[in-house]
Amino acid sequence: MTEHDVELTRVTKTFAEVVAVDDVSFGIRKGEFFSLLGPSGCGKTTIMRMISGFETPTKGTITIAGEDMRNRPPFRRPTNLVFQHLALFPHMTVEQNIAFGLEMQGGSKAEIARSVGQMLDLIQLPEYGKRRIGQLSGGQKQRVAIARALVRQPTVLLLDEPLGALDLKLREQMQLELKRIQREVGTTFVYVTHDQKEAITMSNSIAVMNAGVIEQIGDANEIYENPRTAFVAHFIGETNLFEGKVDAMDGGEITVGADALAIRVPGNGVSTGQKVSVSVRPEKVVLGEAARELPNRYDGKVEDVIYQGSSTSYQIRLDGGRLVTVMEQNVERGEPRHAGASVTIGWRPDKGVLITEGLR
Amino acid sequence: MSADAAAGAAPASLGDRLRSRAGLRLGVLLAPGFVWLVIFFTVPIALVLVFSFYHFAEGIMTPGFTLDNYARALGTDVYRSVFMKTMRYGLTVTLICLIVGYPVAYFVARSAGRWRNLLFVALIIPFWTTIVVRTFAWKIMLGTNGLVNYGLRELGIIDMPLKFLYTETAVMVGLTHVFLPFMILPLYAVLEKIDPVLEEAAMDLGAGRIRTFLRVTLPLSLPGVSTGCLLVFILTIGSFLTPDILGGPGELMIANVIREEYYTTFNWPFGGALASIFLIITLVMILVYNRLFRFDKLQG
Repeated sequence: MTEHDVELTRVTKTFAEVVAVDDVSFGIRKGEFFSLLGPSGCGKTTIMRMISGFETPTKGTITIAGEDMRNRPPFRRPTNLVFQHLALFPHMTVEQNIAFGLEMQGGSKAEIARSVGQMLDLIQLPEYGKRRIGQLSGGQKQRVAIARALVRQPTVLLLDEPLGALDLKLREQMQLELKRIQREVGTTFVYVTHDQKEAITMSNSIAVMNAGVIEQIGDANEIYENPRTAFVAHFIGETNLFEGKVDAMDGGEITVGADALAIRVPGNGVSTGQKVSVSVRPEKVVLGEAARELPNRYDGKVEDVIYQGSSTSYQIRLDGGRLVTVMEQNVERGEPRHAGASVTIGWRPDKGVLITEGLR
Repeated sequence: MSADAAAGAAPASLGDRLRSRAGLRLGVLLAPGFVWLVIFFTVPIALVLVFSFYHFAEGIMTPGFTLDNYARALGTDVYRSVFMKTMRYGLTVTLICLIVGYPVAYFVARSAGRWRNLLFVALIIPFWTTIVVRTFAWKIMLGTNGLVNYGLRELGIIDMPLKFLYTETAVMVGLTHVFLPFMILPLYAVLEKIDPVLEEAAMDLGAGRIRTFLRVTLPLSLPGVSTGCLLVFILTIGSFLTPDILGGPGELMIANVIREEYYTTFNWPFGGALASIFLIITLVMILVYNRLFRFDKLQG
């Protein structure tokens, strides 16, 4: 047995001429909340459908709990799926929906009724067993879909953007709910989403996908603070990405020339003249007095102000013409800066991240 | 109760509503259909019913009230067996249409985009050709020197031509062919609306193809099954053209006999009695059917 519940080895999937998933390998640890994050069409749903058995890899192997899943139809896999549009059976009651998977396994009526009862408790809808699906609200349907998939005690529960149809408030509530359920049952969750906030809030581990390949795997903090590619830096949160060339190297610190700007950033293993990018998150840039002593320091004008209550987001036009987004916490009870005001911005070199992969 | 009553307004009578502007529009829209139905449906049926109680002797119909026609229709073995045969044809053809039509409807409903439109047109095309032509085509197919016998002889399966024409089989084949689209279309309409993801969900939960069909697809398609069966059954038991062309004198259905009474013997009272009995049997069957399958409640 491996420590991984799910293991993909060099998996490729092509539809006609289109490569949906391109030579992807990764493992999902037991009991993990694992998110596949990426824009639509990046191949994340295809990966999920291959794990659940609805698509067959063109090349490569998928193992679940150490067993090779080749030629195993969906109904013989230790996986269950919460579908994007839930796909609850409209002609059955809540109870019948949840019992369905157990009836397929066989087992006594009493046993099934007991498991269904436990599931209804788990999703906190104990009184809803006899309801028809049409009588439930969006959030309740959501819970029933999760219960229906979990009742078979799968090794892996796959969730295909199940919260997409809910409004914001309900979605946030369901995110917490999902986390709670996952803690209680301890099952490995694979969560497919295009919503980076959702992935960051919920996951132990995130695989960021783009154009059929995995750009980076890591926990939320790792992916946010140390994006490895330009795509990851852009897709997770907001960033200022400066594209340029390595101008000089000085021990562990290098100087990148990006247009008229010289940016200092920690970095190793690059050579002078190499094309690189520097990613700086808006909240890591400081304004005014605080920027005065910093090595990375530039002058500009406030172009746009978006006041957000706890913080203010500024668009600053640097003297060289470059636009930079800066996020300032509203620690003081004053008014924000006005558009048109001259301002100095800056950041400590170690707040920037040097990116050498996936440059455009 | 009604929304009107709940809002505290007095419930409007039909007259009130007709006098209002919306009511006027409703009346104008309904009137042509209503008049049409009264003149061409209610009146003829009432006449058939009235005539069925008239006397008939030596080719002449005289007004009066007698139950003799009904006694003869129900008491004679020949007519009873024609009724039975008609019902048997109805049930058999419906069943065959269901078994043959379901997979076709499913296949078309699950085909992708352009193919589906093409296949759908193929389903509609039979409606462009009259039943007479289609039935005569079968006569050519099934005749002693027809295509089927020719094929079987060429393949060396038989030496002597088989007798297909003017048998029960020929009638069944003809009826099935003619009414199959009436089964497929309502089935298609329902199946097309069932999200294929529901079938995937069943498979994901451990159901193989057969159990997926029995537990998910079939129950969800029951409204279509029930509509299709009812349509085919009613059309089959009322058909007279197909048994006339393919069945010959030995394979009469009730509609043939009724026609005979009206147009050959001119015994309208007896024909009327047969027609009334037929109508009542059919209505009772539909009521029972509705009660059994509750297809009015299956929607949604």
